[in-house]
Amino acid sequence: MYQTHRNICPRNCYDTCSILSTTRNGILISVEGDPLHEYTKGKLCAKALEDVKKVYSQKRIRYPMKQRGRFSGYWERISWDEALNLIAGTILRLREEYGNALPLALNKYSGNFGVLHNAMEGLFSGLGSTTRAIGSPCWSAGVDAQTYDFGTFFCSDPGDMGKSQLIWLWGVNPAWTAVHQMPLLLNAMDRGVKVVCFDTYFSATAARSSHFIQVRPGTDGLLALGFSKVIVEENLLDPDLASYSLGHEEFIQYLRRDIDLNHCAEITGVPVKTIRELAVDYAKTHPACIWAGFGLQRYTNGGQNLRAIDALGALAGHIGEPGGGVQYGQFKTWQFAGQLQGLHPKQTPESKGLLKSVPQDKENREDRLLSINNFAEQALQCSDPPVKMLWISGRNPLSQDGNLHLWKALIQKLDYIVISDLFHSMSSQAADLFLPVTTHYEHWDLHASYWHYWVGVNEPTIAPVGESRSDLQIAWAVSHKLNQLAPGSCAFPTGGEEKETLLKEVGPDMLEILGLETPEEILNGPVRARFPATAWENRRFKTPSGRFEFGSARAEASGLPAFPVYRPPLSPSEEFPLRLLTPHHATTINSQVYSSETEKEDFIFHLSPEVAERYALQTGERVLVWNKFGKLEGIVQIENRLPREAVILYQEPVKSNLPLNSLMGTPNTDMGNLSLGAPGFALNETFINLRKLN
Amino acid sequence: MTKQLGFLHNSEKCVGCQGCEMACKNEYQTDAAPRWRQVFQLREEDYSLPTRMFFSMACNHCANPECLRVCPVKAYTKREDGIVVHDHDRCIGCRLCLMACPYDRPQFNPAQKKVEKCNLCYQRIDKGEKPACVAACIPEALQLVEINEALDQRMGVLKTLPGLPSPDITQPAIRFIGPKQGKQIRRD
Ligand code: SF4
Ligand code: SF4
Ligand code: SF4
Repeated sequence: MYQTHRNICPRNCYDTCSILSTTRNGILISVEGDPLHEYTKGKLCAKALEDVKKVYSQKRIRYPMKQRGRFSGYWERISWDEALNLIAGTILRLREEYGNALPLALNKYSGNFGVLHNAMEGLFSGLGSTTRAIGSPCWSAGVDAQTYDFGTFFCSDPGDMGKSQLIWLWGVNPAWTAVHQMPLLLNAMDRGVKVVCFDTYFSATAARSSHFIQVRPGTDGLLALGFSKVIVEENLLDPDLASYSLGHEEFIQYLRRDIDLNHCAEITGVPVKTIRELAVDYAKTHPACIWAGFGLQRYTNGGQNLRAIDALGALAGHIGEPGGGVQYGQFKTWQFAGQLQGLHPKQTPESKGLLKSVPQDKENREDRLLSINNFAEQALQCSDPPVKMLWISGRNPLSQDGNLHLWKALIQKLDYIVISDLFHSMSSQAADLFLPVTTHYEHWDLHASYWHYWVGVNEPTIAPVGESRSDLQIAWAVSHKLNQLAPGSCAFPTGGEEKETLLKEVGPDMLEILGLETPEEILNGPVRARFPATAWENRRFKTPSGRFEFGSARAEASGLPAFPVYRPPLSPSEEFPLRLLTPHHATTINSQVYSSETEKEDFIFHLSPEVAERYALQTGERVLVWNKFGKLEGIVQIENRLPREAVILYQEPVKSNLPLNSLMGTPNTDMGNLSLGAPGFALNETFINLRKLN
Repeated sequence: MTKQLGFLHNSEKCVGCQGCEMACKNEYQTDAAPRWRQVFQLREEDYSLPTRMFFSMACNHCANPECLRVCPVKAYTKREDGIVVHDHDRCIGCRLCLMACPYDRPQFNPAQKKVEKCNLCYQRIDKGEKPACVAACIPEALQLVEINEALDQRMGVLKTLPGLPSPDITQPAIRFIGPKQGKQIRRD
C-alpha cells in the first residue's frame, strides 16, 4: 500500500525545501519536491534525493551505544533504560557534588533546524542554571551589520529579485548552495538582465553570470566604498536620502576624504575603470538588487564589509525598492512560541528565533554562556564550577570548530560526554554514550527558512528506524528518569505528544504572520508568511532613529566604528603567506555528507597557476600544508581564475582521520554580540604554508 | 518516420548539481555503483571553464543502438517512440553491450552480475509524466524532446560536444546547447 507524507528538509540551508515522501507498506521508497511550495516548486536538490539511502544506511546507528574507552572504537549496544540511567545518574551526581547544574553543558547547533529540537534547550533549562554554547559559527557578523543599519535583520522574498533590472551576486554561490534561486537568475539573464557575480574565485555561479568580478579576499567592504565614492563623484545619490537616513552627510564626507579609487583598485584587485563602470551602472539602473553571501563576513572585518555594502545600496536609493535592496537573510518567520525551551513570553520575535539557545528568563536562571566558536577554550577556563558533563547535539565540533587541540584538552577534563546523532562522526569518537536520533522522516517537526518566507510542518513518514528517538522524546525520557530517581529534579515535562507540542509552538505571533486562524491549519501544507514581498518598502526602519543608519550610535557604543569605514582583514605573514578558503561544496553541508559516492581519497588543494608556479607545483603532486594549528597532506589541482594569494579547499567528504579544520584557529568576526550573543567564526582568516612532498 | 524521444541538455544552465543523477537513483533505488545517468565536466582545453561547465548523460536511446545489435540474448528492444529498453530478466551479464556502447551507458552491477541502464522512465512516459531526472532538474537544463529536423534547425543546438565519440556511430538521441562564456574581468 502506497502512502504520501509531507516533510521539510531540516538542514542549515537557504532553500528549506518541502518534501513529499512515499512509502510502500511502511517503508520509505522515494522522495520528491512538494509542488505546493512556491519557492522550491516541487523540486529537491541532490542532497535530499539521497535521503532514502541515508535513512536506511547500514552506517546509521540504531541503538544506544556506550564506548568502552574514548577514541577506542569499542562500542557496546545498551538498552535505553541503561542509557537513561547513565545520563540521569551523572546529572544527579554532578549537581549534588557542585551544588548547582553549571557543570552540565550543552553544545547544540544546526544539525537539524526543526523547532522541536529545541527540546534539548528545554531539558537543560529544566535542570537549573547550566552551561550553554551560544552564538553561531555561520553568519553572526552579517546579522549584526544589518541590525545596525536597518534595525533588524530582514530580507525581501527571494522572488522579489525577479523584478530586478540588475542583480549583483556578492560572495554567494547559489549554483551550489541555494540552487532553487538559479531558475530566477537564469530567466532574468534570458530577459537581458545583467547578473554580476563578485567572488574571490570563479564559482559555478560566476561561470553562468554575465560578468565575473574577482575580489581579493576580505576586501569586499573597500570595494563597496569605492563604488560609493564613484556614486558621490558622479552625483548619482538618491535625492531622497535625507528623508529616511541618518548620517549620510558624514559618510559622504568620509568617502570624499578617505577613499581613493587607485588605492581601492590596488587593494581589491578590481581596476579603477571597472569600479567606475559598475558603480554608474548600479546607481542608474532601477531596481537593482544585491544578494550578499555569508563568506564575505567570515573575516575579522566581516561586519564592516556588509555594512559598507548596505551603505552602497542606500546611497544609490535601492533600499526598500521592489526588486532592489541588499539581501542577506532573515529570521522574521521564526516566530515560534518558544514554550518548549521555556522562553519568556515577552521576548522579541528575533530572539525567540535565533537566540533560541539563550535562556531569557533571567529571574530564575543564570546560565553560563560560552561562545560556540570558542567553546573549548572558554569551557577549559571555567573553574567555579568546572564543566564536567557535555551533551553534543546536532553538531560535530571536533570536525567543525577551530583550535581542535583545545577540544582534545577539554575532552580529557570531562567526566562524561553524550552525543546524539544519526551516524558516527569525528565528535562521537570522543563520546562515552551515543544516542541514536530519528531523521525528519521519523518525527513531527516545524520549520522556517532564513531565506524564503515559507513555514511548514514535518510529519513522520515511517516508524523510527531501530530504537532511534527524536530529541524531544529523548528530553522527555531523561526528565522522566531524573524524576523517577529524584522526584522534582527536572522541571522539563516527562512525556507528551509530539504533534501537540508542535501545535503549541504555533502561537499567536505565528498565526498572525501566516494568516491562520488555528494552529491545526498548518498541518494542511506549507504556508508563506504574509509579509510584503519587499523588505523596508516604506523606508521606516527599526533602528533607534527609525532611519537607515549610515552612522550607528549603537555600533559606536559597542566599540565599533559608527560608520562603515574600511578595516583591512588580517594579512598573511612571511611564515604563512597563503590564505586558506574553504567554501561549501554542492554535495555537503559542513560535515553533513549526503553521498558516499563522492568521498574523496585525498584533500584537494586548488591553486591558481601563479601560486603553483611560485611553489614549482604541478597538478597531481602531493603537498604538505601546515600552519601553527596543524597540518594536512593532499593533492594539488591547478585551476585558472583562483585567487593569487589563496588556496581553496572545498568542504568535501574526504577519507581522512584529520578534519580540514585541523588548520583552523578561532579568529573572531568583528560583530555578532548584539544579535547572537557572541561573535562569529572568521574562518576565512586562516593562513598556511605548503611544500611539495616527494 | 517513427518518433524518436531523447534528451536536450543545456550546459549554460546546468550547474552540475547532480540532481538528475540522484533523482534517477531515488526513483529506482539503484545500488551505489551503477550510474544510469551521470554528470560530466566539460574539458578545460575545450572551454577553459575549469570544473564549472557540465553535461549530463544517460542512455542516448540511439537510432542505431550498438548495444541492441551485439546483445546475444536479445535483452534490448527499441520501442516505437525510440526508447531503447533493456530487459533485466533476459540479461545474462555477458557485458558485450558495455563494450559496444560508445558512451559507456550500460552499467554493470557487480552484486547482481547483470547489466542495467536508463530505460527513459518509459513507465512514467506511458503515464504522461516526465522522466524523473528531467522533472528534478531545478534550472531546467535537462529536457525531454523529440529528436527531429526542427530541433536540429534550432539556433545553438549541437549534435555533439568536444570529447564525445562521433554521433555517426550510433546516432544518439541527445542534443546539446553548449556554454556561452560570461564577460570575464580578471583583476590584474
Ligand atoms: S539536475 Fe540539471 S543542473 Fe543539475 S546536474 Fe543534472 S542537468 Fe545539470
Ligand atoms: S547510448 Fe549506448 S546503451 Fe544507449 S542506446 Fe546508444 S548504444 Fe545503446
Ligand atoms: S530517464 Fe529515468 S531512467 Fe533514464 S536517467 Fe532519467 S531518471 Fe534515470
